[in-house]
Parts: sequence; structure tokens; C-alpha cells
Amino acid sequence: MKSESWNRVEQLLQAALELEETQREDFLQQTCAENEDLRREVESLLEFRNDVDKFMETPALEVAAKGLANKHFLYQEANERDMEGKTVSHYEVLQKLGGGGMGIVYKARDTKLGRLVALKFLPSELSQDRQAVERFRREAYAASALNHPNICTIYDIDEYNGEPFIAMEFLSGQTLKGSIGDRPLPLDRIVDLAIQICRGLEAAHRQGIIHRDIKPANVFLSDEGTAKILDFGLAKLVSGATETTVVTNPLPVALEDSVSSLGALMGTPRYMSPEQLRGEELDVRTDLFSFSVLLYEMATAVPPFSGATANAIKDEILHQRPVDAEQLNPCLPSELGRIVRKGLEKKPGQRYQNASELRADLQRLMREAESGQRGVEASPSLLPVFAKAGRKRLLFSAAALVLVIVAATFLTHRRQPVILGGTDSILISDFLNTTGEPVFDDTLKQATSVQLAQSPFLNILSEARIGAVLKLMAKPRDTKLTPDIARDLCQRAGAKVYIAGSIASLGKQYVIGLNAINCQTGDLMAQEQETADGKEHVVKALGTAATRLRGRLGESLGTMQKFDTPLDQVTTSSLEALKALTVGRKTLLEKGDAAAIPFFKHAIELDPNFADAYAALAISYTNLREPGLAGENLKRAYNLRDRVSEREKFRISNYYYILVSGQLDKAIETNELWAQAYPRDYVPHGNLSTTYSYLGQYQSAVTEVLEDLRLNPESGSAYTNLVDLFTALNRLDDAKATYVQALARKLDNPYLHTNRYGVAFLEGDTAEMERQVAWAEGRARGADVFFSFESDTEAFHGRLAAARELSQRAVESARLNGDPETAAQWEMNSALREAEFGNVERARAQTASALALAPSRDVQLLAALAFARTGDSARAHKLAEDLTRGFPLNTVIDRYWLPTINASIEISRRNPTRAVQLLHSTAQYEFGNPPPQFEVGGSLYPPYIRGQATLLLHQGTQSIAEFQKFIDHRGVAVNCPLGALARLGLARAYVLTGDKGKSLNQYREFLTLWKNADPDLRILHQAKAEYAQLSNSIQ
Amino acid sequence: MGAGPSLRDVTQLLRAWSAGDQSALDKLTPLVYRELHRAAKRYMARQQADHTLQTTALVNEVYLRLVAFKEVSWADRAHFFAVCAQLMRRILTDWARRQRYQKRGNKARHISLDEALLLSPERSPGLVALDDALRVLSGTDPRKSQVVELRFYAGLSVDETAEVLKVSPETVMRDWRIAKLWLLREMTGGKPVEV
Repeated sequence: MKSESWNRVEQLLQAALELEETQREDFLQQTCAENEDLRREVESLLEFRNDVDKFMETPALEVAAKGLANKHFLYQEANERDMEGKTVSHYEVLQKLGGGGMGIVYKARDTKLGRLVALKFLPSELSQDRQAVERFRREAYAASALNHPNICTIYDIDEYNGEPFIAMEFLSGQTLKGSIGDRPLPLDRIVDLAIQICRGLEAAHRQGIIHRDIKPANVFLSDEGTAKILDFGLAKLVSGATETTVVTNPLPVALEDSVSSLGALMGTPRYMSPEQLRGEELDVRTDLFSFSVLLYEMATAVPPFSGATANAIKDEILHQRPVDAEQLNPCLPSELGRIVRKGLEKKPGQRYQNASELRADLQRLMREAESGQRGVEASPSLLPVFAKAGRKRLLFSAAALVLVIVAATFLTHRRQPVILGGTDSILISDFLNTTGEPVFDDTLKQATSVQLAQSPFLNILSEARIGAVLKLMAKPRDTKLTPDIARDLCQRAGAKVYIAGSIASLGKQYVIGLNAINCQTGDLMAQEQETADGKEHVVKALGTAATRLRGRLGESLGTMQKFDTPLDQVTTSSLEALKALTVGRKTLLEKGDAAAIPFFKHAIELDPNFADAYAALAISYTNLREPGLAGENLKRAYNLRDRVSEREKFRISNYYYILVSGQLDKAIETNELWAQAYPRDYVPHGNLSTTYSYLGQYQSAVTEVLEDLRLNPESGSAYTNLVDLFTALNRLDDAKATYVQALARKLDNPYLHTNRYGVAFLEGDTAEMERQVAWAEGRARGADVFFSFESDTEAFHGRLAAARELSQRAVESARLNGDPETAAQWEMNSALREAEFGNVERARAQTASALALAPSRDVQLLAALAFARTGDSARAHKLAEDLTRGFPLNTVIDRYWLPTINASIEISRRNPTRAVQLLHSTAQYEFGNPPPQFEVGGSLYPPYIRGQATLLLHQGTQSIAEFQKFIDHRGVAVNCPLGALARLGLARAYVLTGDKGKSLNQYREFLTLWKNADPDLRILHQAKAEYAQLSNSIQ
Repeated sequence: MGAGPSLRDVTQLLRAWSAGDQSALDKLTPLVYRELHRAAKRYMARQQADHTLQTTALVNEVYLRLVAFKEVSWADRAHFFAVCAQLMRRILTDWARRQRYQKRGNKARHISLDEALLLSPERSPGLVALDDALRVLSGTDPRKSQVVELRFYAGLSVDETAEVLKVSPETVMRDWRIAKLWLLREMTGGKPVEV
């Protein structure tokens, strides 16, 4: 209803608009005589009369369309279109997207695969320029090695009429440049994007690739909110780059010099690092500087170095400190300002040393912002902040924001009140089955679980948690969750809603109902019902009802559509098979893997395409240490992975990549996608931390473990791993503190203690070492591990006899536990030790014995190494070939073990040069702790062998560098005997370089370590003799 | 993804809605929305800067896809356009908000006159501020808000708008002009005087 007064205003306005300027005054004078307010109202509207004609004349769609024209892939202009409609190789060019300094880009369709791609050509003027072409190819080469959700994927490089082009991922969205307007981005957006970009940088740096041109125009934001790094055109391949070393040894590539001499000219000066401007040697920290410039700009909307000319900018970057970000944007937490300042330090040594350190700080900032503690000063020891899982209502954490954008349709506007908020949990109670048909018992609850678990929105109480609460209620684990018990349990567990289902029969039909009930009040919050015509349709009907329930509980349409595979496809359409799996799972919890396996097998008999059943079988076999059978079933599950829910797909893929194919880069990718799709799942973070530690990326691993713990504070394995990781990073105090925290939370296990033992070893704390050994004494589980690790300590000090005895006890203990594979592993540990000490016969005998005990892949691998170390090239070679053939994609075998084995073979064949060459490919991985883990830490075998080879080649300096790694990375090697022998290696290498003083020091160090060694050891005699000779030659 | 809406569904829903059944609009919205969204995206991807815009053509296209036009009446079409106008407004405003990554529900702060006039994509506060201002306007004078929706968001001509709203074209012109004055004042932070 229009009000009287508004009508009046309108009339006057209308009339006034028809009048001339001059007449208006009078008119208003007359009509608004008594009413000042009325007059002011009309006048305030008349103010805009001259603007009215231009306003909203272009319909909204056109406005938006213009905006979208800027959203195209890289650049903005659209002039010549000569390529449109042509076919280039197997790509059909659809549209020119943009052109600019570094290349013209087209949107195209890959006719082979049907997907959209972007084709990037060199501008025609440059295609004649050999250097430009070379640079272009290098971009493709470098970037094609990268496969990561936050990096624009390169698919192909090809040529068209002599002009080279790259085919890459087609992205819809806009660059960060277009996104940062004149206003800073919101804080959670900044941090979320920054973390994503960091992940991309980590992936590239992991491969030894530096971007060198990080800037807003090179960061793309897809429509779903994913950040992707573009344009590795200036990338430079750096070998030997790891997180813990900084010095780089560039590969001898022909154009290296010309590329670096142009370095100062290429790239945008505003985002360049000081070392780039000075034309110095670059490393990953250059990217971190540029990234910090980006971060500053996101946070303040202005760049930190804002000079008007190139020279002014250069001067600022080299000599001037930028204004603190917090001053330009007072909403910023001081912590973010600190992070940016650290990133912008002029000296690389004072910045973050790698992207994962940066990311860890950003993630911590995000956590603190979520729990309301903004701007907390960083605690230098970075101890994990295990705040009680925040019960605070969290409507838009950055992670959730990403999720909503990922699942975007525009329609997130809900039509009914939201029942569940961001951290609320639900409990699924037992179904009420009045049909009289036992096939429905338990299976429907299982199926409901599966369907609801697809949703990233719902937080379902796990079996483990339910079991724990039942225990508190003094009830047995298999208590039926009737409504009363469910409600009680629900309240104790802190869940908000429980789902009560029912099935009843009506003649041939079944009626399935799902109720969502408020735990506190008992109120019915939502209800869904479906009918099924016959048993075979029950599962499908249940799925439909469950999906609707998801919506009623408040899940957005977007994620529901994205994560909604029909239930019968996601489990099985066979009710009997589902029952078998369900019973199997129950049995697993009550009686263990062996008892559960027959049920899983039965499920597969009933439905040979039941992916979940294969996966369950594989996991049980893994727990029973039957890797062969586990692998087979995992392969089948993997091949069926499109028949499972999104989350299951991630889980199965992860297992497959880790346990079967060993493709660690794919495992990382899978887990990162998993973490993005389901931000509250802790499992992918745990997986990532393990994978990173295999690769030696310890800092990244720490970041992931901390996330794991944040989401799952009761994880004993996470604490254990964290101790290990801190040790590898030489942060022994943090390792010890973590150990204490784990004990305080009663999260004890044998490996926690072996890791603590390792820390004690590094500190020379014999009392603590003894305490830990005492802990293990008499325990059935874990005794063998300790025996073997103790044997390493003995060997480290040259006490070979004691070491042998301890190894024997380890082997026996494992055998008594019914674990022949582990026994064989301890045997191999011993065999390798014998090989290093020069006891060839013993080494070979023990190797043969281990192979007889358990000829598994890991044992074969270690055996190949042992044969190589004892000079039995034929056997070593044969085993190595079997491994190559059997595991072609396995990262750890391909890049760490095989080169080590083959290099060793070459040394025994007297080809040390070849050995060094073969070891090139281990450079990225050699500080890792890959499986098989037969020692406390990683063995650092590749540097050791390289050290030996370079000694043989009289390359003193190189040899020193290799053996020095054992000292610099003590935290990784821990008590591996090679660490002691490395001292001897160093001593010998210093002789080659003429550093007699240093050489003597190292001999002394070695002999001190071996002061109580067995007197008859050949190594000891040699060392003593060499030492004596050297001392005399100085006098 | 589920199957598309049946043509019968949409027509029935349109009828039900025009007969006063509010829940019909609830059901109608996602159906039409999806189509409109897809069409808009396709459309916007095709646009070059110098093409003349045919928003009505786009809405018509969606309309033809969705409605069993043999059964349709003139009144239905008018209603359909009204629905589309609302949906287009939602689509575009959401898009504009996302450009700025603003949280939903934030009131767009007041903008300068330039920003209001330009309503350019770089200045997407304009689209967001407009949405907020329209909401306020609809409290004072719903018909003017509708005029704006139909003209600006659905791109209807004055005559077409007049048809849909069942008023004379002159009325539409007057409403349009006054609405624009009012919106400009609202978006730039001016407040109505209590009369």
C-alpha cells in the first residue's frame, strides 16, 4: 500500500520534472508552503534529475556481459581472430581469449578427449626468435611435470605450421589482478587464497621448479574459488633443491647463462625479489618474496613497492621497508602483518625458508581467527595448539567458504530454517524393522550411513566415538540403539540430531521412513518417507529419502547435487551383499580382521562389482600383513571406483596409490582434493603427512599433521608421527614436548617410544634411552621393534657382536608374533649392516635367509641392495629388474631405491662415475624416510653411496658435501650406523682436499664413537692405521 | 543431475502461482533458475563488447524451452517474465557479490554517484547496492520496484513492461523515472525525509 505522503511526493515530483528550471522554485514554493519536510523530500530527489537519463539504461545482462568479457583466461583484448574455427593438431579452436606479451591464448576443444582446453601460442613476431621459442618450450617442459590442483595443468606441447603451442587446462574465472580492486579482500578470503597458492608453490618447489614471476596476473581464480598458478614461462630447473638445503647446483643446460642474464629484464619489477634485481643465484625463497608482495596487495589493495618508475621501484625493493600492512588496513590481525613482513625481508636467509613454513603460519592464523583469538603473537616453538575442538558456532570458516564456492550454484538461499550449523553432529540410530525380514536388520542403517556420509555438510558420529560413549554408559559395544538409548547417547556425545529410521511392509510394498529428531528436546525436526515396490527397490528408495533429508537438515542444493550418487550405485543393489558387508564390519569391530574376511568375501560373491567390499577386504588383508592379497583386492576396488561415493573414491584411490602403484604424486593430489572437498575430514591430512615424510618434505608434513590433530585430537598415530617429524627437523625440544603431550592424553604405542628413544640417542641421553628400552621389556607388541633399533645403536658404536645378538632377538620376537615379514625385515637390517662392515658371507647368508622367510616386495628390495653392497651384481641386478618390472610407477622404488641399488652395482663394477650419474634422480628424495622402514629414521643411503663413489673418483669436495649430510641431517638418520661410517668418509675426503686438520678431527670423532667397538673389526683397524699415518705426517 | 522439469510442470506451476499459490513459486524457482542460469552463462560467454544485447531474446529462449507453449496464455507469459526478472536479478546480484567475495547478507555500503551511474563490472558494488536499494524501495512502492526488475533485469521494453503489469506505458515511464531518482538517492546514502 502506498502511503498518502509518498503519493503526494510523487505527484509533486512528477509535476516539477515537467517544468523549466526557473519555474521549479516557484512551484515548490507554492505547493509546499506549510510543509518544509515535503519540500526537502522532493528537492532531495530532484537533485539527481540530470543523472537519471544515463542510469540503468543498459540492461543488467549487458553490464554483466561486459564484465565477463574481462573474465577470460589471461588477457583482455580481442582483435584478430584468424584461428577461430580452425583445427590445430587434434584441437578445434573455438574462440580467441586474449593476447599479450607472452603469448596468444585460444579456447579450444580436444577432439580426442572431448574436453575444453586453452591453447597458448607465441606471438608471431617472436616465433622466429630462437630464445623465445626455447623459453616457451622450457615452460611446457617444466610445468608439465607439475600436477596439482593449485597449478594450471599443462597437457601437451605441439606445433602448428611451425609455431609451437601449449595445450593447458581451460579455466573459467578471472585473475587475481582482476579481483583485487580498490578494496582489500576479506580476511578469510585472503588467508584461504594464500594457503592455496602456497600449496601450489610447494608442489612446484618439491620438483625443484622455481616460478620466478609470481604476480597477481599469474594467479587465476576459477569460478569455484580455486586459485591456480599460471605461466611458468620463466621457470628454471634447479637440481638438488630440497626443503633443508639452500645451495643449488644448476644442471649444465646450454642456455642457462643466457636465461639468467636476461633475468633482470624479464618479469615485472614490482614483484621481483632483491636477489632477482641484482641478478644473483635464485632459489625457492625468491618465489616466497614475490608471494608476500601478492599477499600484501590482497590485504591492503596497494602494492608494497609502489614507485612510479621502474627505477623507483627497484630502489624501494632493494633498500626501503614498505609501510606496515596493518597501517593501511586496520582490520588486519597483527599476525598477518608479521607474516608479510617476514616474507618481505631483503635477505633470503631471514625470510621463510620454504612455502610450507609459510603455510603453517597461515593455517595457524586461520585457526586462531576461527576461535576468536586474533592477532596472537607467534610462539617461536610452534607447539601444536590443541585447543578443545571449538564448540563455537562457525558459520563461515575459510574452509567452509571454499566448500560453498566449490559446490556453487548461485542458489544457496534456503527456503526453510536451517536445522544444523557448521559443527553440529548427527547420530544414526538403529532402524525399526517391522517387516519380519531379517535381511533389513542393520543393512538399512548402514546404507543410510553411506548415503548421508556422502555429504560434506553432515558430521556423522563415528563407530569409534559411539563405542567410546557406550563404554562410558557401561553398555556393551553392540547395544542396539533404540530411541531411548540413542537420545541419551546423542546428548552425551554432544550431537544435535539423531536419525531414526523405520521400514514396514504393506503387501508387496515397503514403506521406508527417516526421522530427524532433536537430541535435547526429542522434537521431530524433519521427516521423510518413501515407498518401494518390492525388495529390490528398497535401497534406491532409502537413498532418495536420505537425500531429501539432507536438504531438510540444511545442506545446500549445491553440495547435494555435487555429492549425490544414487545409493544403489554407491553401495550395491543387492540387499544380501549389503547385509554381508554390514555384518562383516560389525564382526571386524568385535572380533578383528580374520573373522571379518569371510563375510567380505561373501559380499563379493553376491555382487562381484561391490567396490566397498573389495576395499574392506583389502584393508583387512593389509592389517594381517598379506600385501599380495591386499593389493589384488585394492586393484579391483580401484577399477570400480566410479561406482562409489565421492569420499569412498578418495579413500580407495589413496590406498591404491600408496599401497599398490606407489605413485606418490597422485596420492598427494588425491588427498589434497579430498581435503578441499571434505574440509572436516582428518584422514587426508594424515595421509599427506605420511606421504610428505616419505619424500623428505618434513615441514609440509608437519603442517599436515597439525591439521590432522586439529580435526582429530585423539589420534595417537598423529602424535607419534609428529615426534618423528620434529626430530627430522632437528627440533628436539618440540619432539620431546609432543611426546609428553601424547602420554598425558594416554595415546601410547610402541612407535611413540621408539621415536622418543631416537631423540634420546641424538641427545646422548643414555638414561632416557634405557628408560625407553625398559618400557618395551616384556611387552609382546613392540619388543621386536626395540630390539632392532637397539641393535642399530650398538652398530653405530662398532659393537657388532652386541648388535648381532639384538637383531637375532628382534627376528625371533617377530616370528613368535606370527609376523614373518617383519622378522625378515629385521633380518635384512642386520644383513645390510654386515655388508657395510665388510662381512660378505654373513651378509649374503642372512639375505638368503630373509628371502626364504618372506619373499615380499620390501624384503626383495632390501635384498637387492644387500647383494649390491656385497658385490653380487648378478643377483642384485636380477632382483632390481624384477622390481622395475613389477612396480613401474612406484615413486619410492623408482627414484630412491633403484638408483641406490644400481649405483651400488656400478661401484662394485668399478664405475663410480656411472654410479654418480645414476644417483642424480634421487636428489629430491634422499632426505626422505621412505618405506621399507627398517630403521628408526631414514637411512640416507643415496648420499652415502654418492660419497663413496666420489671418494673413489678423488672428488674431495663433492665427497665432503655428501658425508656432511649425515651431520646436517642427524635428525633424519638418527642411529643408522652409516652415520658413524660417514665420519670416516669425511676424514678420508678431507685428506683429498688437503685439509689435514679437519681430517684429523673427523678421525678422532669416529674413533671416539668407536672407543668401545669390537677390537677385531677391520674397519677399526683401517681407521686407526690411517689416523696414525696422518698424525705422523704432520709432525 | 536430475532430469529436466517437464513442460507440464512449469505451466501448471505458473498457473498455480498466478492463482495465488505461493508454494508454487517455491517449486517453480529451482526449475526456471537452472535453465535461466545456463542460458545466461552461454549468452554471456558469447558476448563481445560491441554486440547489441537481446535480453528479451534470452528470456524468450528459456521460456520456450520450459513452457508447453501450446497450452500457454498471454497471462502466463507475463507471469513467466515476472518470475524471470526476479531470477535474473538474483543471478546477477549474486554474481556481482561473488566478484567482491562479500559475505551474503551484508548490506552494500553506500557508493559514490559515479559508481552508481556506471554500474560497470569493475564497480560491481553498483549491482550489489542496487539490489539492496531495490529491496528498500519495494517496501515503499512495490510497483516501482517491479518496473525496475522487468526493465533492468529482464530487459523488457516499456510496452512489454506495461503488458506484464497491466498498466499504461505512460505509467511505466513515470514509474521508471521516479524509481531511478529514488534509487540514486538511496544508493548514494541520502535518506528520505519523514513527511
